[in-house]
Amino acid sequence: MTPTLSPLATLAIAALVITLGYFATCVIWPFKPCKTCHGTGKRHARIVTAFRLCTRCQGTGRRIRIGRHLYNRTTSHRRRRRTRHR
Amino acid sequence: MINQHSEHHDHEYDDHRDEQRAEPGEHARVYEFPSKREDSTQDKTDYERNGGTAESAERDTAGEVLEGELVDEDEQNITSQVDPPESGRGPSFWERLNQAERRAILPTWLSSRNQLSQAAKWAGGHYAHAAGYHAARCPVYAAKLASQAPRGTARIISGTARWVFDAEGQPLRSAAARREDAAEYLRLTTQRDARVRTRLALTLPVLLGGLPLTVFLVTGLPMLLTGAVMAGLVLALGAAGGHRDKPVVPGRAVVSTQVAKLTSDIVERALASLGIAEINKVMGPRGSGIAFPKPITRDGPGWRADIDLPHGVTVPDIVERREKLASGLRRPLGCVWPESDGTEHAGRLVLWVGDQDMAQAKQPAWPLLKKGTADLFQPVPFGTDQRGRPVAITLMYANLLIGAMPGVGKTFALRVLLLAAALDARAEMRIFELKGTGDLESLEKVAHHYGSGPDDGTVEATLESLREVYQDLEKRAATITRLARENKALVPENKVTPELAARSDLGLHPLVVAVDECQELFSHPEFGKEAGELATAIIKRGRALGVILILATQRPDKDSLPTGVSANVGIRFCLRVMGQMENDMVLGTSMYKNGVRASTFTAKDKGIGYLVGNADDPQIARSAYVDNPAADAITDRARAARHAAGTLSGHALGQTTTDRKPDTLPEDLLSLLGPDEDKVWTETAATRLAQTWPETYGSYTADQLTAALKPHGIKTNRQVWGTDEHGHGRNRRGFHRADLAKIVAERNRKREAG
Repeated sequence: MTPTLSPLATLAIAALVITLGYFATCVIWPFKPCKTCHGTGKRHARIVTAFRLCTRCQGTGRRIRIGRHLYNRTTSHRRRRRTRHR
Repeated sequence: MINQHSEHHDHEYDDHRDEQRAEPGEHARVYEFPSKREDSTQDKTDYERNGGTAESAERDTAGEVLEGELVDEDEQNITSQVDPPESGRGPSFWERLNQAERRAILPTWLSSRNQLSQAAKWAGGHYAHAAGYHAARCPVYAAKLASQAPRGTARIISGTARWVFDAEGQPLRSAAARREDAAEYLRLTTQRDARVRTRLALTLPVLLGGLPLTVFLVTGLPMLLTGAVMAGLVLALGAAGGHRDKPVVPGRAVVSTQVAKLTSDIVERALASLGIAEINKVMGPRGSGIAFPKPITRDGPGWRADIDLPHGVTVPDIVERREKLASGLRRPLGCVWPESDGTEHAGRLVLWVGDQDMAQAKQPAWPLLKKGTADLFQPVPFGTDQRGRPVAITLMYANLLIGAMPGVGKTFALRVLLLAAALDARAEMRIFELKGTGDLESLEKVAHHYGSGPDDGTVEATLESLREVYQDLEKRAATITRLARENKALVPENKVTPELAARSDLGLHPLVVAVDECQELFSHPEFGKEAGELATAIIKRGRALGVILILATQRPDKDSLPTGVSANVGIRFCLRVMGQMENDMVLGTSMYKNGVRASTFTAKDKGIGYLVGNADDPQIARSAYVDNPAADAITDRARAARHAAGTLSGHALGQTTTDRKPDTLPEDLLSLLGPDEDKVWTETAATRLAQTWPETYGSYTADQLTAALKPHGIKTNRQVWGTDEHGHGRNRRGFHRADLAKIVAERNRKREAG
């Protein structure tokens, strides 16, 4: 008599968990390692010893998470509007 | 004329010399003409007489030529210089320093032991009260704190956690994330990590080691101590969990009355509101303002402002507008006391603004209420002034008149003084209260004469007593004269001195005659005239002879108060009266005009009045409040003191005025006989009686004594062998001691039975 969840419900719960998890990740770790430079902030040339700073992340090795970025956009947009209308 | 001319000359000379040389023709023409030496010296003396400096005179006499001018007659009416030149400027520095007022080094409350102890007592009482108030509410406070303890615990825990995990930096970090500034975010998180590491290293040992250890130690303590520590911990946690707007201790134990500070702005505004043109002028846009020669200071329970009124405004102008002034100051009328400063000019106003209405302010108890005796030659405490300072009156060498409308505390004021007099065991009191309400009843037991009632009998008794006092005056005067002739040092000013008053054989003890509602006496159709004359004579002559007359009246007009009385009384105390006439009748003519106005008192100003003649200036005094039971207790004390001193007499001993002589003659006579004198000549007895009680038996001859003793049933025609003044033994008429003793014993028995 173990209740079995329908595949749809399982999917929905999994989506919820994943969303919330992503949300928490965005709050706790707003940045993630840069994909281009793998978090090093450097790009190596063909010659082994030479390198330059990663242009994607300006050498920080960190990029803002997409979720956080969207959140920032919406809130900053709202904030701007609020200040304008005040 | 010459004088004025030359004066005008040097005036012009100094000021316009160059001008006139340049334009000689404009006002007057200037000539230079030769002159002789004599003329110039003449001129010099003129200069000096007119205050010209010697230097300017020399300039004239130096040359052969004297400068002069011819002036039009019209110009001669220019006024001369009134203000002296620089050299005659005021008192010198040393003179000013000499006359300067030195302000007390110590504040008044530190200046005397009495005041210091009062201040200490006040402070002690204040803090004791506060402690008691809070001690009573202690359980409530504890319960409140305990209920706040959980929140306090939560606050402490969360506070610690926030500190450990650097919650402080959180806003910065999220801001960096919002700005998507990765470099800044990295820097901030690195910093946070470092902080958290150190703070955890500090906190964890305390949490894991220190806390269990403390718990272990505390529980290991004796039961009581553990409980105390736990309670203290709970209270501390409760204190940490408090609300700022909901304090554990909600109220203060002593709510101080908030009184606004008196500032110069307020005073100026109030003065400007009086409607005095001169004040408004100086307060106007082009005026100089009102001057405050001294800073506004605390003085007793109030503020004191010294004010220089504008020219032409005097203190009485302000005093008569006291009500308006109070309105302008926004204070109750009883708080506002404008006075003149007697040592300064007429426009110097001392404005004292009390914190509390004088009638409502708490008055210190009368100093003699519980203990102590009075000395009529010294000031006796009477009451306080509006600033709460004691007011004392020297009754000796003075007479006193108290006037007021009914029901404002006249009799109370009178009674305070009489109680003080009663506490001087030497004083003989004659008290008559012609209202009949028995307000002075408590003094009956120390009074030589006492009468109470509005009836003719009491009035007549009063008159009779005044007659006696008048006769006594003669004896006192004779005694003083005799003493002065014998030994001038004894009576340096032909006045009764404390030493003389203390000697019972002279009969110069202080004699206090008090008549309350004296209008009943003086306006009496039958006795009034004689009473007025006697009172006038007593006031005029009795002062130096130790007789003090105290009169109180509620109707001070010329019928009920003879002018001879009202004009000669030294000290006057006027409580609330209705108008100018009554005011001036009591306080003296033109007092109203001078701003001393007892009519400004209100109905609730009980016991408050103007006291004139006691100090240099009229002062406002509030008589001490002594109620009937307290007065009784005081007179009990006074009676005991008099009993000890042997000065109880007259009414206080149960004797009445009319039958005094027949009543005590046998006792008096018996007391004069020595223990071994079995028989005595009538002559000798009469002489002794006259010496001992001159006022009663002064006129007795041997025959009169015989006649006086007859009604008592004493045989006076016995043969007595004695020695006369020449040393010859003789048989004369006399009486036996045994007879006298038998009669006295019988009388005593009768008196006890009756």
